Amino acid sequence: MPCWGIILLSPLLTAVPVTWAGEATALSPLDFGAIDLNPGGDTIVIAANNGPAFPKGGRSVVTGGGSGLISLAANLGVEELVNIGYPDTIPLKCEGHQISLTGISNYSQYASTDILLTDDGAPVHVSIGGNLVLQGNETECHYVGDMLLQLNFE
Amino acid sequence: MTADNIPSGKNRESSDRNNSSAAASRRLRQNNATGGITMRKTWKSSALLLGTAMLGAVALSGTNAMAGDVTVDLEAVTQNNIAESSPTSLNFGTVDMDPGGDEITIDALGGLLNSAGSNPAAIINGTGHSASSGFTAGVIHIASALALDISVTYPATATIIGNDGASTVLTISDIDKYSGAGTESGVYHHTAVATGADIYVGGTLTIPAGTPAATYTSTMNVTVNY
Repeated sequence: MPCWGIILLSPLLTAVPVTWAGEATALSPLDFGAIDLNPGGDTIVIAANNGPAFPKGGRSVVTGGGSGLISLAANLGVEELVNIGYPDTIPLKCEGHQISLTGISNYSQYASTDILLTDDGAPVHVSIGGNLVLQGNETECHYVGDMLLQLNFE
Repeated sequence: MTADNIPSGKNRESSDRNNSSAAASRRLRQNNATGGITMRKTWKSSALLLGTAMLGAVALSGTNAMAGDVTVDLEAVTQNNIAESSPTSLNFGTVDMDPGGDEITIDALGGLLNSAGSNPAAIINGTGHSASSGFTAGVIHIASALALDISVTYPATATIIGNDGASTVLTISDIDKYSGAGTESGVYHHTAVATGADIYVGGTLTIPAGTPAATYTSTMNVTVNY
């Protein structure tokens, strides 16, 4: 008799992962703009802890750029709690050169708190920041990369 | 009942349980006769439903523990569109020195907003009676296609060293006071992106009495902040 239960229910279990609890959309890239680097090196910070922010250099001139933005929403008609897992460091590369994005959880929203997605599907916007530590002799280049954010629906 | 037939200890309990079980079986049989078998089937169905509920809970739990991800693009451009140079030295010129000593000041503040004209420095002789000719303010030229707020950090003093054989040292002071984009003159708002910005540098040279005639030279480091 217990075998019936297992046979009957196992298709339900295997079918579960194809149903998403929410939608996640990347709206804006995390862009550090154009950095006229101080010869002594610098740290460029996008502090998006409290929402959208622009890059700031300690002693370099930074033009343009802005924090990243993603949108999260529940799509099953029920409330969802979402936790965002930020990576520690991500490389940005250009023509064989590499710089590192760090401090992502320090300068992004909802790094230490869950996000409540309401059952009406209203989107929640999350600003993403971080910092680039640059040496004074960094190669002039257009660095690009991408960052995968883990979304844990609880 | 003989003594061998009397259960003792565990055997008796077991016997009791057996008796009880037998009684229960009898009750079941009796119930069977009165429809109790239906109840028994119902109980088994309940067990199956319980199993279903438990597994269903696992399935629901699986739904709520889902994980997904989202990819955010990253971008940064490093460039060097700002270049600093020092096309003109801070030069106190040729000084016909007062034997009692003197202070010679180049006031370059007037040059702060002038990037196209002649060197705007003014000479201010001290209390002595020296005369200077051929002087110029120093110039820091900043080529930038960007509009910038510029401030310069000057040293409190700088020294120049004579080629008189004794390496006599003279001191230049009040550099910030008489120079552009410094602490006293304030941040320079550079907007002339086509021509770049010229920041003029002055200061006060102190010449003690008895200073030997010589050519005095040196360098001075300043920091340009944007």
